[in-house]
Amino acid sequence: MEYEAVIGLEVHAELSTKSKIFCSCTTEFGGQPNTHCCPVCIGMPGTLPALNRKAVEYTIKAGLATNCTISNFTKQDRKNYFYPDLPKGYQISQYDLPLCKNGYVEIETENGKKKIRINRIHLEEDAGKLVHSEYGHNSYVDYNRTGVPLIEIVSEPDISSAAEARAYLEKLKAILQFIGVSDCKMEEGSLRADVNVSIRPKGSNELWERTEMKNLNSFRAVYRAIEAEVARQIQVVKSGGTIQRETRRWDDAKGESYPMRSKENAQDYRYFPEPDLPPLIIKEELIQRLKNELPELPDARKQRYISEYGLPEYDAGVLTSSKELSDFFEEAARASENIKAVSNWVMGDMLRILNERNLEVSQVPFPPTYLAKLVALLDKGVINGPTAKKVFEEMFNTGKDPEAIVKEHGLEVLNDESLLLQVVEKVIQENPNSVADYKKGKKKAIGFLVGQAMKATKGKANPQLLNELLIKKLEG
Amino acid sequence: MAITKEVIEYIAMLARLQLDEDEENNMVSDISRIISYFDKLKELDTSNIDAMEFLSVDEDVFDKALRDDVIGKSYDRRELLHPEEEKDSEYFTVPRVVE
Amino acid sequence: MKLHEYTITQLHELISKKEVSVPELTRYMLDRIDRLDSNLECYITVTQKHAMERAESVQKMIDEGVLNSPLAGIPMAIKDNICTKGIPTTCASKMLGNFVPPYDAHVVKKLYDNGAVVLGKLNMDEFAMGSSTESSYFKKTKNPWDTQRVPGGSSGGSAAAVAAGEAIYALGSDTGGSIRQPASFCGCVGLKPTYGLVSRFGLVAYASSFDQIGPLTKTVTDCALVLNAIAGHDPMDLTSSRRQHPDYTKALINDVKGMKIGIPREFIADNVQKDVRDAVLNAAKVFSNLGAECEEISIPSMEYVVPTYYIIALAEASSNLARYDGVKFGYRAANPKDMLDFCMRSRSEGFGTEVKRRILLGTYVLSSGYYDAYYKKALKARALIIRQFNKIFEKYDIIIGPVAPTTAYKIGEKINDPVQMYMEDIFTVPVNIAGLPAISISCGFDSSFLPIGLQIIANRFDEPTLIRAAYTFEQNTDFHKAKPSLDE
Repeated sequence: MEYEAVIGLEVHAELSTKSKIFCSCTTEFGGQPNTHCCPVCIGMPGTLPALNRKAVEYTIKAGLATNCTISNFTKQDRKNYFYPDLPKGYQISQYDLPLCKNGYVEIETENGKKKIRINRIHLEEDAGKLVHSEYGHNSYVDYNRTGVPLIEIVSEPDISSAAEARAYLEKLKAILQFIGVSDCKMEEGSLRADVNVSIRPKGSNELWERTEMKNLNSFRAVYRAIEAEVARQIQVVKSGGTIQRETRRWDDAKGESYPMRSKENAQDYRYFPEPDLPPLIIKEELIQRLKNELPELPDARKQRYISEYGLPEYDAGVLTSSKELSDFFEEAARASENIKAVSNWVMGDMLRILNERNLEVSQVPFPPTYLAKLVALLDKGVINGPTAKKVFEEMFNTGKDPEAIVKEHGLEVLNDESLLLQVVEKVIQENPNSVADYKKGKKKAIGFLVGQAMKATKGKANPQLLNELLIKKLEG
Repeated sequence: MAITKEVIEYIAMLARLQLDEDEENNMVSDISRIISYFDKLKELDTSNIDAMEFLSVDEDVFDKALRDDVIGKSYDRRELLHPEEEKDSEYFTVPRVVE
Repeated sequence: MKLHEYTITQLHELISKKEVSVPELTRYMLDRIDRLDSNLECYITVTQKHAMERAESVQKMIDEGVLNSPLAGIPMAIKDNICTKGIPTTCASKMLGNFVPPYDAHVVKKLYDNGAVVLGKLNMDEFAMGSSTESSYFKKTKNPWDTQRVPGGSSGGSAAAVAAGEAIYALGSDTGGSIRQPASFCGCVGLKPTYGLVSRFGLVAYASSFDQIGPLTKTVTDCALVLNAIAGHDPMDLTSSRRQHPDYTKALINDVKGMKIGIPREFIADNVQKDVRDAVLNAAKVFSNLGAECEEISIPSMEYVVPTYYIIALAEASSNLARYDGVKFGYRAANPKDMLDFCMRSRSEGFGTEVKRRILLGTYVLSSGYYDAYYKKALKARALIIRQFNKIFEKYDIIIGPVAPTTAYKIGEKINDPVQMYMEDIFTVPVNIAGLPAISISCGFDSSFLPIGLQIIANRFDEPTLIRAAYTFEQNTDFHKAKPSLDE
């Protein structure tokens, strides 16, 4: 029998508010342990939560950007469980009345566009961090992250493969970054995913028991964990076993998952309405205002790149996959007359260099307008292609204006015919063998001669002109 | 449902309370009596009532009661750490947590 | 008259006229505590040094004319579940024996702003769970009227200290009667404000949707003065009301003519001790004679108020007390095997029996399978009870009745019967369920000369009417003038 995977994702994204969800401590990443804390966020007796208005606005924006319905009446609830990183012994979250419901995002798959439905988006608080010493009997708790606002985005089980899961995550990440509610840095833990996986006979509508996988901290881990889990479940079923409902922990180093100990985890969260916070009425005016504040979303921008800039769909997709990249491209494009060339530079050399040097777009040391200048220099024939690549590298090294680099190093293309003629004559003189070969009909020998001439001009000669002059001289 | 030893043990685990034999027996009997007293509530007709009705509905909570997103000063760590932590400790120390 | 017998108003005048200095007064009170408290055991912590330093600086500010609050320089004390920066706040629990808050509760800040001199922290039932102050881990407070008897609770230390003149006034907290019932047992004035009138920030939570801080004083006038100081919006407490509160001393009017008073027949039924019932009926007569209209009314759901209250309160409590796991503050078990053992033993060794019982009950009513039958049902009952009060207040200005079915009982007499103890809260918990303001004032004595409290209940935020009725009753009776005789 053939099987297909049924996958749902629970994505947690930390909101990029300045202060925490219930107190005014900073949300800044890092910092000495337990220095971004106060009596409220460590849950000291007598303290109360003061809900951050911006956190609610950001959640609503996330809902609007993912086509959700925004609740007009919503409240916070307590989710009760014990864990040392959870200072109050409960997490303030949302249970039956989440801020956002019933949305979707669209992803690209091998078989075209696909809608992934979103069940809900709710607002909650993040927990702290446990540090384990290599040896010894203790663990150590750092509450700096405690109380950073978090949204949980719960998808319907509409995802059918690891690749779709990754596409969905990439889309969510792009959307959240575009609307500025989360920086979605997986390496800092500000975007995390739990994955629910089950399998079923291909084409059926059955719902089989699912497993939940936690601790997925990169897109790669999500992809690999799903592949491995689907394979494991198929293996279990094929060998006559049944899938147990359980929570599994993904070990990225080993590339496998294992069930988490569940003795103390009898899951009975005893949700009840948070009595320290009044319910919230979300007025229509507020929803309208936030809607108006939404910037152009990735899908709309992609369409614009296709229709306005005439870019191929693939290119438009890559360029809108992250806000930083897209903003960079757009600023360069606006300053340029050759948008297709700008797009090629961004998608080619720029992404390659970023990748090689392990840099973020934000770390590019020159403004996007410099890329437009570089394209112009090339288009005007001031520099040639190979030189342009060198200049681009130099821009990454020094952050300098390409015009300045060209000037400083004298990289302008040599178009002076009399000067080039001298070089050509010299090359013919010094390479009698190649000249002879050419004259015998080995037309390829011209390449060697051009190369020698380029060398003599330190690569600055206009290669086309050089070629013409050589042929003229040899045949004339 | 009867409050048995097993129920009390389950609840005690959820509440992270450890009861000795005597305590557990007393709890079984006290909590049984109290719960059967609470059961009186079942007589009350509440069929036309929404459980959330008691929540006061204040339209202006979002605009007027929520906190502005402004950073304030955090506390000196020494004021927050458990009094039994070493003076120069940076963390709250707990027994090793195995995940 | 001795200094400890004066009211806030009288002492304010003495201080203003420089007939007594704040340090003198504070020294006098500290000496009195020193003399009496080994017997009465009202205080968990006496802040000798802090109080004297405060007294000096307050006196200086008074002299400089920068402080003229009626509370300036008045020595007072605070229930030990209200956080005081640098002063231990134990909740009368072994669990918080080592807890010194790094911050002041909102009300404490406000009192400091008014020049209050804090003498110390007062005994209570552990985590405010009880109505006799017998569940305190540290000590058993005695009722100043008869030291064989309980002072009531959970603010038993607060009521006893005010009645015995160990503090001029005190702050307590009331979740299901914890200010009014001890005020009744000790013969002082105790006010539970409307839910949301006073910020809860810094009050160690028992049941968040019922808890309120309020004053215990000798007179209704003093009560209005303290309420003026502590009431008002606090952005740190989102359940605190944003409405501007009036000057409550303006409600000190000796006149109830035309006031409509309801007496629920359920409040004067057979389960009420006869002396208490007679005193309440007599109070109704007093009001009638002063021109008010008293009528018998009914609160149909009275027999369900206690289960409703306890289910909601204990559900919230079980969650509120989850933070005590030994990690961040509070008692830590020694030599733990692992994290689970650390958490379980810290909690089990740190909490007393009544607290554990309530945590277990609260956990039970929220647990899966029982949530609808208990917790959700109680929320609906709460809505129903609120409807019934709303209906009453369409027609009546205030409701009167007893505070408790009995007067102060003997220490140890009821502690072993939790159901009985819970049922005695029947007249106080409806007020918390509906978030109403209510006051306890002296309205008589039983045959053993133990004080009887009259409870007056008003509509939400109608403290002015409440104070007016209480003040009028006080001005036209002498019950509040009686003082316990202490072997000094």
